[in-house]
Amino acid sequence: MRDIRLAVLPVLLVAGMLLTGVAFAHWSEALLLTGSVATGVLDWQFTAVGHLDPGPPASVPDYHCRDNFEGPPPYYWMGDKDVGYTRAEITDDAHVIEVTLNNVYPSYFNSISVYFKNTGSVPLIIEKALIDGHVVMGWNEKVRLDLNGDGENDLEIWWKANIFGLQLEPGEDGPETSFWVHVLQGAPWGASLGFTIQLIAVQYNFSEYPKPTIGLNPTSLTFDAVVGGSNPSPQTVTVSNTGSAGSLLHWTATDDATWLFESPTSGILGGGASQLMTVSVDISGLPAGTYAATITVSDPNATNSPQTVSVILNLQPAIYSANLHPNEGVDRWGKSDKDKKDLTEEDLNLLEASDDNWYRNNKEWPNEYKDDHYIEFGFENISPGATVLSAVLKFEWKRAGTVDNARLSIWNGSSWSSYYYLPLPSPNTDTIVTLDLKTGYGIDNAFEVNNLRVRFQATDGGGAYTWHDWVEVQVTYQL
Amino acid sequence: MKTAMGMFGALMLALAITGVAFAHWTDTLVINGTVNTGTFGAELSVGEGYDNEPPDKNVSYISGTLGDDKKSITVTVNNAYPCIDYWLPIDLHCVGSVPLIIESIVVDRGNLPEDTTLEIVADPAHPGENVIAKGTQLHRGQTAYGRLHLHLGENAAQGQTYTFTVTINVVQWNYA
Repeated sequence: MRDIRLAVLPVLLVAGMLLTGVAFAHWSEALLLTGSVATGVLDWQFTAVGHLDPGPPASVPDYHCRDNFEGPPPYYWMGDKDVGYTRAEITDDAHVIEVTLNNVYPSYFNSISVYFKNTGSVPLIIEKALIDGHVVMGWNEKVRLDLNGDGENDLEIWWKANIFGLQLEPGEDGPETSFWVHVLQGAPWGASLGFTIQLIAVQYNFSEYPKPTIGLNPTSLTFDAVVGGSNPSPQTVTVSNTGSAGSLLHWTATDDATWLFESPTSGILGGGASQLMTVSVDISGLPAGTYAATITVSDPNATNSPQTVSVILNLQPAIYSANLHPNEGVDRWGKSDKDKKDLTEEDLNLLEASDDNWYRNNKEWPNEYKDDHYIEFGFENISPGATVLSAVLKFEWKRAGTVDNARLSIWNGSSWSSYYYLPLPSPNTDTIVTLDLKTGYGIDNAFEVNNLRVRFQATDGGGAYTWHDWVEVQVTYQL
Repeated sequence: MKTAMGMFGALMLALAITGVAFAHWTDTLVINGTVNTGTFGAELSVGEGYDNEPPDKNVSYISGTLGDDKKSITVTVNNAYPCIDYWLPIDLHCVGSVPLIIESIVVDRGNLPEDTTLEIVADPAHPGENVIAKGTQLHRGQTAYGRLHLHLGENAAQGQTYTFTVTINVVQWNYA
């Protein structure tokens, strides 16, 4: 009896400890992750449908074409009868378009365009079309339909849209998708011919279509232009799909400059196909400088999207030229005011051109140079901010036979230059002297041009005159 | 005999009265004890979620929100679709003074489709460091790194909301 008690006692003890939590109490915590996964939706819907031959009241003459849509282009033509028409509508299920041809007859033709968009939340790829259950998976594919099951084809349909493999982002509209319909000889009399169109799309990362690859050539462009000049000629970039034959490149082009333009800005290319994109620039309002921009060509489905074309625009400052004529001058032969003559408008006009209308100095030249005996010319101005590229003096004169020396000096607004001694022309023979004022006399800015003065002096052993025809400063400059 | 017993008793009595025989010195020794217990605790932190959608696609995402007590994370995956891997970095920190050990990770898949992958795996951003996995032991101030991995299979339905829970049980290191 006592032994039994001893055996039961530990059991009771352990039970009691378990109940009270004394013996097995330990520290622990539970950390919790609670998650929710909201899945997206793959969906697309037709958004519009249109065609060439709507029914009454908006009726138009019927179109026709040859069997198998044979040429020549454009393969169909408008007839002079209006008896048949087509109804094409999006059904209550926006994934289906129902087409019904009414009162039509062999050779009746119609071109039907449908529009669709990705109405889901997941990118999708258009993989195939179903025309009354017939699978169409290729551009330019033709199918023939026996709608009444009599063993003869009633309609032929030519799929004209390159959309298979096309990827659409959520909310993105697909391109216009067209197909042609032609009524064949086997069409039954007195029956409405109807069929349905559907598109099959798959989640973008499940498509078995080969992916396109973007090709661009060249990948850099340079445009040169001058401020105020015309826009440079447009250049082209070849956009190509270098992916495999079954791939479809649905490219779009964007750029990051307001002066840069592309045309077209989008396109669809099958594998191996290419097209030209014209790139142009508009320099209106742009100051001189070098501009850089990037054209980005992308297709979310491409293996190498995006690709870029770098564009450089070198916009040179405008180069202006001006022929500056004397607009004032003085003919002086002594120190006092009475020993001078300010050149008149009439005098100045004589100096405007090499036209043998001569200005003769007012007083015979002395037999040696005198500081107060000269003819001096001042000239018209150029824009104060101009950068002078060149300045050339044209000085036409002739002398009496006794004039034995002549020289020019140039005032640049700050100081007189050293003298330039003129080669003596034959007596009474006019000669034109050309002086490079920029390289020879340092006239290289607007201030110096605008303060330019040319002084002529001569000596005469017998007391005679000189004659002056054309005096002009030819300037090129940039603003 | 009675006489002897009487004599012995009288002797004891006399000794007791006089205190001669039992007088001795005594002392008392005392041990005072104080037990300062440690602390035990673990906290979570969460990183920025990511997925393997192509660079030009960003229609779905995973994110995590840490609870105020840092003991829970609410994971949200939006606009998910099949064949995309979603990743959410998760760190587990030992904030107590007593080492902890990850005793278990319990994944309750909720209503997720059977072909869904839901797991906590090592975070490649922290190679060679502690991993959130059963048996990982952390000392005070140490962190274990992991990432929640979700992959929907083709059985996932469109427009659905699936829920799940993952519980990470940590215990005092010597009780695992």
